[in-house]
Formats: sequence, C-alpha cells, structure tokens
Amino acid sequence: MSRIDLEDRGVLVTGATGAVGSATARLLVERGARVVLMSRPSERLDAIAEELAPSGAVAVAARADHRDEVLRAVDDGARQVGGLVGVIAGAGLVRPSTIAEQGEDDVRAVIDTNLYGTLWTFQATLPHVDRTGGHLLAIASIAGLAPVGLAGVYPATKAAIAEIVSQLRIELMHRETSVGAVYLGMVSSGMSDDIKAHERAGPALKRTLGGPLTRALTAEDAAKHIVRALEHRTRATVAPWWQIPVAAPQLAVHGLVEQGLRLSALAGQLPRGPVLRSRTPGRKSGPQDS
Amino acid sequence: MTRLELRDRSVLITGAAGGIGTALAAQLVDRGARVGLLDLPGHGLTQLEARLGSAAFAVPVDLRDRDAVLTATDTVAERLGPPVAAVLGAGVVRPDPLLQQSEADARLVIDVNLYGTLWSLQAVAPYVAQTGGHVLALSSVAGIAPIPLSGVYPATKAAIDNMVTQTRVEWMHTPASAGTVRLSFVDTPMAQTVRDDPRAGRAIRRSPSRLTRASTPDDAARAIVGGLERRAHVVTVPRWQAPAGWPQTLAHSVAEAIFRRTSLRFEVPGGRDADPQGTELRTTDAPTHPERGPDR
Repeated sequence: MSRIDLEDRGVLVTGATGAVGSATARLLVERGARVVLMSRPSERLDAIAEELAPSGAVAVAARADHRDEVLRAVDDGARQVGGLVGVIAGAGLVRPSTIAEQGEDDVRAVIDTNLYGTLWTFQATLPHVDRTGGHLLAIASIAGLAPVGLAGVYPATKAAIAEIVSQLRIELMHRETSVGAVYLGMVSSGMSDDIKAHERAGPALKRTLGGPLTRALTAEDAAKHIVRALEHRTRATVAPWWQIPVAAPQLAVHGLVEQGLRLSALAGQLPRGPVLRSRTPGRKSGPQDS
Repeated sequence: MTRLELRDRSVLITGAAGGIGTALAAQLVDRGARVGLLDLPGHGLTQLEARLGSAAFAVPVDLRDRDAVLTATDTVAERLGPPVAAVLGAGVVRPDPLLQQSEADARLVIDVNLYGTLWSLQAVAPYVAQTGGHVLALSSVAGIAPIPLSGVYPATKAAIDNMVTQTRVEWMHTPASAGTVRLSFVDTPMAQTVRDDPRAGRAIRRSPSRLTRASTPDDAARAIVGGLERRAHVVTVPRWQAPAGWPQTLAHSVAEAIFRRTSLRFEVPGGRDADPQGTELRTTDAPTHPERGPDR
C-alpha cells in the first residue's frame, strides 16, 4: 500500500481542542495538509480554528455522540477541504473511579465520547475516505489492552476501540482504504491533569516509582507518532515504545486472526464496493459532493 | 482462595430467560442454589420461574436501566439472601458490517451488552463484597479477536473482558473476585440470529464445520457453574478455543500483578488500611451501595 502524501490533502481530526488533537492538527498543517478541526462547539474550538485558519484549516462543530451531527459536520468539513484522505478519531475522555462505583453520568459521558464518538466518526468518514483510498486512524490506549485500575470505564471503551479497528481491517480488506490505531500511554494533556487531580488516582500515580512507569509523553511527541502512523498507514503504533511488551500479545492475536479470516469463507461475504451509510430517518444517505 | 459453595446460597443471573441463562438456572437449582432471575418481562421468564419452583425468584427488569437494575438486585437479595455469585449474561447481537450498522442497532447492542453488564456488576458488587462471592460476566471469543459482520458486538465483548480484569484489580482487598466466560457459538436463539443473517450465515455454512460447531447451552452452563465454584478468572467454551485468549490473559495478568505491587494498591477500596503512610487518610471504605441517579 502506498504511503499517504499529506500535501494539500484533507485530514479530519476529532477532539481537536484537546492537547493531543491540537498538537496533531498543528503538525498536519505544517505538513501542508488541509485540516478539518472537529469537536463539540466551544471557545477552544474557535480559538484553534482562528489560529490555523491562515494555513487553510476549517472548523466544524459536533457533539461526538450525536450521529446526525457528526454526519453533517463531516460532510460539511470534507466539502470545504475538497475530500478526505485521512481521519484521526481522537476525541477522548476519562473519569477516574472504580468500575463498581462509577456514577451513571460519568459512565455515559465516557462511553459517549470514546466509543460512540469513534464509531460515528468512522461511519461518517468512510464514504469520503473510500473515494481517496485513504486511512482511518483511531487513538486507542495501552489501557485498552491491559486495564488500569481506578480509570473507570475508560479502559473498557479503549478495548472496544482496539477491537473495532481490528474488525474494520478485515471488513475493509477488499478496498484500498486502510485502518490503524495508535496505542498511547499517558500523555501530558487535560486528560492526564484530570487523573492527577483525582483524590485516589492522583496519589497512586505520584507514588508509583516516580520514574519511567508514569512519565507522560508530551502532546507534541504523541502528535508525531500519530502523523507518522497516518502517513505510513501503520496498523499499530505503541508509544512509549517500552510498553510494547504489554501491547504485543494481543496485537499479535489480532494480526493472526485477521490473516486467518482473510483466507476463510468470510472473505467472500465482505463488501467490495463503496459502502453506503445506513439511513437515518429524515436524512439523505451518502456524502455530499463538493 | 477457597472453593465457592453454592448449596443453599443465592445466585443472581441476568439474561436468565436466554438459552444459556435457562440452562444455567436449572443446573444451579439442581446443585441446591437459590437463583434470582433477571431479564425482560415476558413469557420465558415467568415460565422459567414456574418450572424451577420455590428455589427461583424472577424479577422482570430492563437491564439498560441502571436504577431498575439496582432495585431488582436489592429485591433478589432481600428475598433469597445476598448473592454469593452472579452470572452477567444478558447479550444481543445484530449482524452487520460495522460501518453500515444502523444507529438503533448499534445503540441496542451497546445498551444491553455493555451498560447491562456494567449496571448489574455495580448492583451486585456490594453483595459479593459482603459474601466473598464471585462474579462471572459472559464475554466472547469474538471479544479476543473480532469476527467481521457481527456489528458492534465484538467491541462490547472486548470492553467487558477488560472491565472484569480491572474490577479484579480494584477488588484486591475485598474477598470478592471476578472473571469472564469467553463463549464461542452456543446453540441459542442469539446464535440463530447470526445464522439467519444472509451474509454471516453463508460465511458460517462455507467454513469448516469443526470451527463453527455450536456447544449446547447445557455444556456452556456446566462450564459456567464450574467456573463459579473454582472462582475462575477465565472460562472458555469450547475449551479448545482457549489458546486464542492466552496472550490477552497473559497481558492482563501481568498488568494485574504489577498493579498489586504499585501504590495503586493503597488507593483501591480498602487499600488505605494497608497503607503504612495512610494513617491520616484511613477511612472505612468497604464497598458501598451505588448511589442512585438524581442524574440526567
């Protein structure tokens, strides 16, 4: 598969107001990409849109868990930049707690942003990316491969995302469009600040060896991994590298099963042509043409 | 940890009216357990309760509704005694390529499989902490490595598997334990919805039958009862598919072992009592009953 040239091509970034999302957007702009910044409507979205507008970036607002809003925003953004060659589904949220004690509002907020956000983003962008044979990239987490205590349902949603990515690689096997994930450890961001501020997760983190186990990547480093993964259509990137042993066993199983299923009778049942979106009542399906 | 005695004890089953739930309830009653049956209101549930007699107590409930699940579980505990075990089995599948799955189908599967399992885990947590019991959540071999054309189902099962390991870490100071049951095809109405799907059905019929042969609900139930009794972390049905899950189990176990040694152990429930530096923080923090929502 060919490397993706980002120069003058459209790339959509969700969670664009977060530390990792905005660093990624800046780096993409530096590479000459035409970036669509997506997040829920906020002043931070306006601010980063204003900052990157001179470089051709556009902003679209949507709440990640509202499928209709995501579909509309993606179509709108894709039209403005003339199509999408890449998608970075990066919207994410953590609420520290034990699983058994996490309140309903927090559980729903995390599942809405992380799981539904990624799912609807991919559903909305696939028809666009299918036209260019581009790459769908999810921001997953090492916590999704081996869970972290006190992180609430966050690790479970990231496990679901890892599974979604692996499943899509099989389901899209007959097409040029590719799918991958970046599995991140702790990154210095608003998200890690939330964990450090938590009455239980904070002390647990502070007293853990102090050293490499809990040292956070900078958002800029994470962005570099993400952009490289997009350019090279990398199926899995693990950062920081020393956490590879934790991630490798499960990623290897995904790879093996993918290869097995590609050779199985299932392969004959998978869609070959461009995928049409399932219809939502009252809305036309399919992307709008620019 | 000691073997779990089920005789004369109460066991909670969610998704009780399904193929596996029904077989499981009958086997548990045979062993002398009392079973609390949670599922959607319907003929299946009332019939099952009637068939099992006084050892069974059914509470019709929509498992997607957190407050209703908490109340139903409390009702079972009052009636049959605090559950010493729970099998969280409610699940649905809607076959589809993932990115073509409709919003309604995706939400249904996530609501029942993910939220339903989580709410019942939260509801039963204080009881198993009290009885030193064991919770088994039904996951799937598809949660280890995804099966295409099964919509968002594999993702929900991967989430459940992850959630259970995390719960075990978080319960390290309590006498309660938890595990997952990774099921492959079991001959149930749920599996039938997959076989009835044109694409998925064709793929199954054209695959070597050795790979797709279904276990019987009774076989699955036997494995689950055994898993409860020996407090299994992982039960795989059929057993020959277990190696697919070994790498993940290994990664989870390593993470678990690490967390038991880091200072996270002082911050999970009950941990401050074990913390040499934690005297000023020491609180009685036995797991509490979850708060009900003034939410939303």
